[in-house]
Amino acid sequence: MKIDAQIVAVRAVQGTLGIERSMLSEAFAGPPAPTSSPGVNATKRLALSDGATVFHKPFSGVSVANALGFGQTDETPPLHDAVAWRVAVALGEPWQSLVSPCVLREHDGDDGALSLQASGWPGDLAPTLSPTWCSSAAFFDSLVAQQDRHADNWRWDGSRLTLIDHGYAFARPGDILNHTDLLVARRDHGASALLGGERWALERLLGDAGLLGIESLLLPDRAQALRARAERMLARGEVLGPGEF
Amino acid sequence: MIRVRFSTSEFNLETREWVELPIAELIADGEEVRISGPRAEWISLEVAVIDPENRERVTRSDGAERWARLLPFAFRNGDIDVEVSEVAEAEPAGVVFRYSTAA
Repeated sequence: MKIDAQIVAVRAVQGTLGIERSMLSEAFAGPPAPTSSPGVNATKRLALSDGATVFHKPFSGVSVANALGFGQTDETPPLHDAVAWRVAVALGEPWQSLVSPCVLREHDGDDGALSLQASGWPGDLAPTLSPTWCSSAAFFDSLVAQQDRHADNWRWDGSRLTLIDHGYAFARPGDILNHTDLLVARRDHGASALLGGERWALERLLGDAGLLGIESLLLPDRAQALRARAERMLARGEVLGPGEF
Repeated sequence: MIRVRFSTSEFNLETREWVELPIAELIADGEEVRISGPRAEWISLEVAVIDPENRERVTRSDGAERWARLLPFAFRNGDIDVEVSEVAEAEPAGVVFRYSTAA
């Protein structure tokens, strides 16, 4: 694969957190959930022996037409799921608690992204009205160039927001945007200006030559785009506009 | 007429079997969209979908049936199973919310 080096790099750093170790070591409990349709990316719902529900998105099962439509490749969506989690871990709180944990792991001989099921339900617009949750999520989506954040790509449990599905992230300038609803909400609330913790997080990211280890996890053009976005956000003191990748 | 069924499933650790849980059924009939089911509010009718054929951004107002066919592309993480089928006639449903794309 063209992203072999990035996959090796992700594998080298994952497993530092307890939740990652569980996701990497717990056995799969039984077969995947039956699905009435193969769906996009041939993602499988699985249970781990500790009772956790996880989703396996194999590299071999990426919907190529859909991925190319977003300017991704036939390989990048599972990688980007895993790298978005690594960005959240590198930035620390509140972002680490905001993103669904994800590791690269094989299932049934297929390598892919294994994401933890988030608590809560889809379709709830409550987070767009919560300054705390909306701000943190919008900052994250702006930084990672999320291309498709709508209410079915987050989970809300009444008190906590979790961002899921980062396959279409790390976009480059000119790539397509479908939804970025939390970023739009933050800007509509007149809260584009960076908060102190956000500025500090960007300074830490840019102050490290390897972007806190993230640079080696992405294809070079996408790592460069990430660096450029962080620089623009810091220079302007605000989150970027929708589609400003 | 297009029918889209949304479901999820839970793993029963004792029986080690998956139990399917219905979420909602959406019917796109011409320009009208109806959605019903125990968790119909989970499905956003405002979601736009990128058509992989031509990279066009398709919303409900661009054509309910076309939009409904593309809905699986909005649910990629595996949490919600989306099944699309063409049907001749809608089956009766309990509580039904109706949305029209007509002005």
